[in-house]
Amino acid sequence: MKREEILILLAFLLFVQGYLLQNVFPALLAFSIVVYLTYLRSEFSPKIEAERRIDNKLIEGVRARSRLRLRNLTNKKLKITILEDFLPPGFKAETPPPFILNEKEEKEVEYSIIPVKGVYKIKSPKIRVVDLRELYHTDFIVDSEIEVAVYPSLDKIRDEVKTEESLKLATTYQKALLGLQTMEIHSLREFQPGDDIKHVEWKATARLGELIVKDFLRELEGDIYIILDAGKEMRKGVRNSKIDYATTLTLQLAYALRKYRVGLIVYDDFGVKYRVEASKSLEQIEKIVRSLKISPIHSDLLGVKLPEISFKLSEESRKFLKKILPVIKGRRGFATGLIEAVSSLPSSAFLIFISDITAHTSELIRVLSELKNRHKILLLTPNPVLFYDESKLDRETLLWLYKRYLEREELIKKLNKLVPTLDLGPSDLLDVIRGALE
Amino acid sequence: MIGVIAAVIGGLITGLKTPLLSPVIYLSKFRKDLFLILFFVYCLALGYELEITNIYNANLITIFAVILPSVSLLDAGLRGESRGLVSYILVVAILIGWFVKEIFIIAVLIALFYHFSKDYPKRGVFVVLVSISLLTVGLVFGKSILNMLGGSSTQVVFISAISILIVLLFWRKFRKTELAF
Repeated sequence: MKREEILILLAFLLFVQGYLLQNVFPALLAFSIVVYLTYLRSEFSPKIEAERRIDNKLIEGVRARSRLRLRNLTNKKLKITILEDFLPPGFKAETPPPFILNEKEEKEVEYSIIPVKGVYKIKSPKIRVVDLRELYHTDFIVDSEIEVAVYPSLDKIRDEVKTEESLKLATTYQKALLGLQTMEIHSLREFQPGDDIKHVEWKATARLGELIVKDFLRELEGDIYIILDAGKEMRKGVRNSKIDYATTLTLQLAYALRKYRVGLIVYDDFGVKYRVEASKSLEQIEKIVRSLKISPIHSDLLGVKLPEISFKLSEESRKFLKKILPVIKGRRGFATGLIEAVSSLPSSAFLIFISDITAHTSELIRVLSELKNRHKILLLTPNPVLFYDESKLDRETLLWLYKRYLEREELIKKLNKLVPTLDLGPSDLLDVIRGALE
Repeated sequence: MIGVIAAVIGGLITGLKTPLLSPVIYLSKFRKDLFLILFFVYCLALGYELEITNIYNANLITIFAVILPSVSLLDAGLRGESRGLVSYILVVAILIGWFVKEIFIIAVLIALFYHFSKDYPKRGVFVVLVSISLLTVGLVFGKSILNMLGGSSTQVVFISAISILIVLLFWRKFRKTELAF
């Protein structure tokens, strides 16, 4: 029921009351109410001007400022309510509470809009003008549209990836990297933060007067091989090359696993580049360091920016090139670097793959499927989204990155069904490994 | 506040009890919907309490002493009132009006004009004047038909007919605010 209708009903009932009770007073009171309503209706003729300003480039999930300039063209106070009824689906608006616009006043109202990704034409908001007695209102719709492009939020993608991975990383590392804990006690040592309280050796603690915990032996079978992909896809990039990160990670892993027999195989798109046989010797780390002379592919040298040439090959052309490239390189057969790398592995080993999963995905899946029965495998993959040079970001790149991110999510899920797979960013390095190993 | 004081004094002048409840209605103005419903009941109660069988023999001061404060109360509840020197002077005048009825009516009328002048009315003044004139002229010219024994029902019908005419003449189409209940 409308507010005015209460008063209209009252006037009607007063007339009925007057008629039935043969009393003129209720009719006069009803007449005064009708005149009052007529007065209010005659006086309510609001006129306003409105214009909205908003940035053309917005970021998904980040509050964008919407500035609405309003001008009261009448000499009456008006109560204004902003209604964002025409926002695209998924958008949220934090509109201000109703406010008073004085006679002939011009006011700029600022409020937030939370957009979702895409390109949209945003219509101006509905401006509801209410009379001061709040009986009537008129809606003004400004006939204008602003085209905005909402980019995906790179920070959000990063945060999501990081949060999810950070939670899983330590436990996965511990399980996959160091093997399962056995019940056989290896030694006793001082309690350190993070140790399970169930492992406290109470007798030794009582004897020595400080917390002592049991250190259990961990099962680990055979050699450990770090299989590093140094293909073109891994070496792309200028500032944050994935190969830089991968080599650092390899070194850190090799150092962390120095108590075990660790070996390294580095391969590229065409074959095995370096191979360090698994060994427990002191020189092993040095051998591995020497093997890791892999440089990223630079797209600009000496500050001279080279033109970016990109062309797309058809599916047939790509298949054809895939077949003939090994021949051009003087190689026979269809075996790529990855297949060559895994062909010479011992019968049982713990394999740590560091690879870009998007370059030769089907081949990688095939290899992992074959190896997982004989070997214990961990796949570490640098996420390209997290390695992208921020200074080069533009609308197309962001959209492309986001698309790749989604595709990658699916792929990671698929790979995780095969072997434990970790999606890593540039900073998922020291802390994670240290946390897992301590 | 003027509306409440005027209603209470008006009630005291006319010897009615219902206007003494007006402060309760005024206090409900912070919830406009509740205010409207209470005002609804208040008006119906007033209609039962004050009886005028023939408008031509009625005491106009009694009619104005109830109707004008009621309108003032309604607008004060819906729009709110501003306080100032003029308001305080009018309150004093209304209080004096308790003893001199004519002063009360004039003070309430001035209070109404003062209150509505803040709207900077244009068309509204014309509409109100035409509406009241229509009723007055109608009652004057229709006296021979309307002023008869037991003619109160006919007078009610005449007043309601004038009201419908006003509605037809001046009401424009509007979007109305919903009750929040």
